[in-house]
Parts: sequence; C-alpha cells; structure tokens
Amino acid sequence: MKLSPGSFLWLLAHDQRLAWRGLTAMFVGWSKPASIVAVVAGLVGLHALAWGALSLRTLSPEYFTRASLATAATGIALWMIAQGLLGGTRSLYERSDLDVLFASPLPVWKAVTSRALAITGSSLAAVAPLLMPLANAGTIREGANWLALYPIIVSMALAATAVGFILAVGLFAIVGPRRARLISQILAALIAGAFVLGVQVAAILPRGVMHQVWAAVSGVQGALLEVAAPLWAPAFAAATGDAGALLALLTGALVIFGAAVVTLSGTFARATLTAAGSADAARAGRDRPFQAGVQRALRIKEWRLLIRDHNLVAQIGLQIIYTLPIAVVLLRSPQDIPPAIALAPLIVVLAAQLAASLSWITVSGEDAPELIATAPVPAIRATAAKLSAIALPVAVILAAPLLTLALISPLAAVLTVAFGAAAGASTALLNVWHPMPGNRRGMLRRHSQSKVIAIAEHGVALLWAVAIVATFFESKASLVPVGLVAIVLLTFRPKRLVARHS
Amino acid sequence: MDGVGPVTGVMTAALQLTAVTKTFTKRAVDGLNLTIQPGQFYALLGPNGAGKTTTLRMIAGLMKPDSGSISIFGVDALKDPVAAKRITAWLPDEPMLYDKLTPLEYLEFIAGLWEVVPAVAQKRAAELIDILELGPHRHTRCEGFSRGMKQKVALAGALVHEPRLIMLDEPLTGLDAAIARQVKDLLNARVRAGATIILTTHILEVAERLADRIGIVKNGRLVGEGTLAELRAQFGQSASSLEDVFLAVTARDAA
Repeated sequence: MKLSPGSFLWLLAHDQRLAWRGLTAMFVGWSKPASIVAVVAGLVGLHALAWGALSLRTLSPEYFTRASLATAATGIALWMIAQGLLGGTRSLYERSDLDVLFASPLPVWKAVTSRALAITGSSLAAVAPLLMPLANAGTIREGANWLALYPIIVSMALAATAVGFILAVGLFAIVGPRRARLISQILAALIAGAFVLGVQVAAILPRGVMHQVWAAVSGVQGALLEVAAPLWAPAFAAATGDAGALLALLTGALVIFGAAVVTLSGTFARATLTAAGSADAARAGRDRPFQAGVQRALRIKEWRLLIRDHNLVAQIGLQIIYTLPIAVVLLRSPQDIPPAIALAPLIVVLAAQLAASLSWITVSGEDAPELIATAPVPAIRATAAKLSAIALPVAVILAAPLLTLALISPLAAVLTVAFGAAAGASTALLNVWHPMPGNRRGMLRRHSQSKVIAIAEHGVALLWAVAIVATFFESKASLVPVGLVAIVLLTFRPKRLVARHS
Repeated sequence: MDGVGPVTGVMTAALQLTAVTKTFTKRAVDGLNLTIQPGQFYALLGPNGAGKTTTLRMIAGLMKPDSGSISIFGVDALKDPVAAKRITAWLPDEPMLYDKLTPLEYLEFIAGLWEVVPAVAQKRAAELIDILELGPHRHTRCEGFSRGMKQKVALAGALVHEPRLIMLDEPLTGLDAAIARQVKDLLNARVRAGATIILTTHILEVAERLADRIGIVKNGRLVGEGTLAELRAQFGQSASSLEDVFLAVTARDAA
C-alpha cells in the first residue's frame, strides 16, 4: 500500500521505520539467516520461560493474587511512564529530524503525535519479549481470554506515554530545559533500576524469605489495590474476556493519549526551540594554570567528561544496581557463609563490570578519536593513559564496600583488591583489544554490538569471583578459574599481538 | 621543537608526496606527487570525490598509503609518524571537540597531548582566545556552541602547539562572514610567521584570495598546479577567474 506523502500514516511509517532500524541495529554484521535463527531461538526460549511462569502459578497460587498482579502492572506502568518521560525529553534535545518536520508544511500535531507513537512503540518493544510470550502460553494452556493481554499492554503503553509526555513538558516549564533533562534521566534510571531489581530479587529470593517479604508487603498491596482499584478495574475485567471492558480500556487509552499529545504538541514544539537555545550563558571562571604531560592530559579529560555527563553517571549507577542481586544469591545460601566471602566476589564482579564499561567509554566511546590519532602520541601510550584514568572512578565507587570488608577481614580486603584489579584489567583488556566504536551514551546497550565479547566479559568476571571464593577456602581449585581466564584472554588477544610474538 | 621559526640553510620541502597511492573499493589517490615549500599557503582543489580529504588524512597519519612516501619537513611520516605529527596540525571540516569541555580546557588538553610547556601553552591559548574573540566563552562548555564557535575552538586547538604544517579541510564551511574573516586573518598571520598551510575548499574565491599556489586534483591525480597566473597561462584562460580555470581543468581532464 502506498501511503499519501504528508499524511499522518505516512509520517507514522517514517518514524516506525527509524525505530525499527534502531531496534535491528543489534544485528548489524550478522547474516540474515543467523539473525532469523537468533530471533527464533530467543522467542522459543522466552515462550519456555513464560510456560514455566504459568506452571509456577499453578504450584504457588498465593503469589498470583489480584493485589500482586496489580502491583506488577503498576510497576510496568511506572516503567513505561519513565520511558515516555525520557523519550519526551530526549526528543526535545536530540531533535535534528524534528527540526526538519517542524520546518515543513506539516501540522505540528502530526509530527509530535507520530514521535509520541514511536516512543510508545519502543516501550512496547521493551516489554513485549516478556509479556507477549505469556499471553501466547496462557492462550494455549488456559484459553483465548489471555489474548486480551495484547490490547491491555498497548493501552498501558499509550496511557503511560501520554503521562510521560505531560511530565516532560511540565518539568520543562517548571525547572527549565537543563534540569528537566537531568531529572528525567535520574527518574527514569531509578524506576528502571527498581523495576529490574524487583523482578530479579523476586525471582531469586529463597522461598522462606519470599514468604516473609510477601506477608510484609501484602498488607500494603491490599491498601494500594483499594486506592488503585478504579484504575485497574477495566484491565481486570478485560483480562477475564469482557469485550466491552476491553473496548473501553483501549478507547480510554487512545483518548488520554490523543488529548495529551495533540493538546501539548504546540507547547512541545515551542519547548524544542527553547531547548535549542538553552546553551550555557558565558560563565565567569578562574583561569587555572595549565598542567603538563600526555598522561595527565588524557586522564583529566576522561575524568571531566565522565563526571559532567549525568546520563553516563546514571547508567553506571544502574549497572551497579543490576549487579546487586548477585549478593542476594550469595546470601540466600542455606549454609552460614561468612559475610566476607559473600561480599568479596560481589566486589570483584563489580570491579570487572565497571572496568569493562569505563574502558569501553574511554576507548570505544572516544568523542574525538581522530584528534587522538593525529597527536604525536603512540596509540599504546594513549590507551595506557586512558586505562589508568578508569582506575580512580572504579576505586572511588568500590571504596565503601571495600572499607566495610576491611573492617570484617583486612586479609579478605587485600585479596579482594588484588582479585578485583586482575578482574578489572581482564575485562578492560577485552574492550581495548576489541573496540566497538559507539556513542558513549549508549553504554548500557554496548553489548548489543558483540554478543561474543559480552559473554567473554561476563564469563571472566564470574571466573575471577569463583577464584577469590576458592582462595578463601584455601583450595588449589582456585587455579582452575584463573587458568580459564588466561585461556579466554589468549583466545581473544588481537591477531597482531600474536603475529608480533611469533 | 614545535615552534614556527625562520627557515635557514638548505630548503627542505614542507611537504613532499611521492607516488602516493590509496585504494578503497576504487582508487582514491593515484600516484600523487606533490611538493609544497615552507611558508606557502597552498590550496588543494578538486571536485567531490577527487581524493583531497584522503590525501590530507594520509598526511595527518590517520591512514597509510598503499604505496609511496610522505615527507614532512624532511621527516618520513610513514617511518616516524610521531615526529611528523609533532609538527603538524589537522583540522577537518567537522570540528573534533569534546562537548563537555570548555575552550580553555580543550586547549589545555591539546597542549598536553603535544607536550607543550604549560606556561607557554597558557600564553598561546590566551592569545588565540583573544584573537578569535572567544574570551567571554572560555569557561563555557562547548556543547551549546554554534558551528562557527566550535570551528573557532577547533582552530585554536590546531594552532596552540604552533605546528609548522597546518592542514585544513574546508575550514570556512558554515562560518558567517565575520568569523570567516577572523579565521582567514589568523591563517594569513601564521603564514607570515613562517608556517605552511595546505587547505581544501570548494569556495574558490577563498583559494584565489589566500593561496600562493593552487593544486587541482581529479581522480586522485594532480591535473594542474601553479600560481593562479601560471594556471591561467597553462590552461589558456588568461582573463578568467579561478572558477573558470578550475572548470576548464576538470572538464578537460574528463574529456
């Protein structure tokens, strides 16, 4: 079907094409058959997981009450609102193609609505891999009413995007463009972090602890449900196969979305213009003496770029949050594991992950690689300086847990520093040897560039964690993971290094 | 070491390319021979895809030629790239900046990379900021700067280590008249101080007004070279502008 140029559907197709290309960027470099096999394998795996989750529902029905479902739905809705807020503020700043659209004879509402629908689409794409297999598995196991999950999720995404949009424009008006972006990044990071952490902790908590936690929060859930009952009532009715409720839900979401986005489109367009002119005013500052040296210049540059990029700081914070469930896994053990042994491998894994991320930022995420390449500095010296720059932030971030560990066991702390440094050096080397140039703001998505390096990186981090635990038990088995790390590093070292030494 | 000093003794070419060849999917630079003398303002012209930027990128050490040699003030740029880079600066059409750094921090960073003595670098940075009228913005992060402002910061960065050979790829693209004038004045001052400049541009009036010598490349080969008068004489366009000469040269080669 050929869409009429300038029509809303034509514009929507344009935005969805851009969104689709962003989504499929993770398969760049893959052959078409390999991409199809990966997608099919992923879908099969997710459906198997969904099947398992539904089996769990039969085994432990106490966890699948109306209140718990409402809580989960609220979590998903909050996450979608955060995505709407972030997408809205991003559109305000990264607006190059919006400028083209706003300068065209198209009505502003069309451009803004189309962009809002693209944000809705990306929210849906993020939750669809988890929720849609659930709908399919439920349909097979229990009946067609599970298919209602599809329109329910679409309705949630539409309404959440609308709320996120209202928040973005509201924040912009209240606190100004710069703070609006910072606040939206922090809010989105906190909500996403809490959502992921909540899902992981719920999945890995020991059964006994889970019962206790459940008892503690069920009262709160009940109260929440009473307050939120009118909000979720249509969704619950729709989920039971009530077609009228389903229609009302979808219509309501469309009305909220349409009213919010169309009403605010003019304000949004004006806000993009304000954001464009929101450059820092000329600042009075003190001219400090210049510092000497290549190493120092590169290190200071990296530190300045890191600390001034709130988005990057938020992403690093999220990465730390995502690693915390490992501590839960270790602490849930039925044996009495000393706290030092539970804490040390966590610090080692964190050191490895942080070093990997920061080395990717400094090497692959370098904003001006050609500037560095044209400087009279051998590449190896520049890379060494960049790697030395990441040691400080890693040390600062891990200082508190290391200090805690030192109070429990000074020897354990010393060993952890040594193993953490080795783990950090290993994952940093992987990233230096196999640079994957990209925008530093896409740090958390960097693993989509190379799944092999991602697996190697996680594997090396876990092997060092196993090694330190084995060392605590004075087991010679600690040599096994260290040997495996050596094999991984030898396998992944660049060919030119191999050639130089052969 | 990195200063622009008077040229004495036997004249060594500022830049000498000998039979430089580079092939991607097709040949971008094809046995290019080019000699630029110290203190010259040289304009390298050519239609899109002629191989100008590839040539400059090879001189800057960003890519290696498949064959041929590159000598910068007698330094073999392929055998000793670090020594060659120490005396050169490369300013591409897209400024190589860090949005989160201020102009002053950027200049400090560049000076650090080129290992300029801090006190000297600070003095030069202050002069450049003054000449380019960046003073009120020297503590403001570059992220909100206009293209012209960013280009000025990048130019200051290219000059803060006082290179002997300055390569500029379309330095005036997107600049308003006032900023373009500042940039041209600064470049002229550098040439008067003894630096050698090679620039590419599609604005032929700029080349006509600034350049001592002009080279025209097409399909990776030098198809015309000389002063404007020499080019006119060479290509029989005695009363014409550089634009007429350029079109005649590139059209003749295509015929």
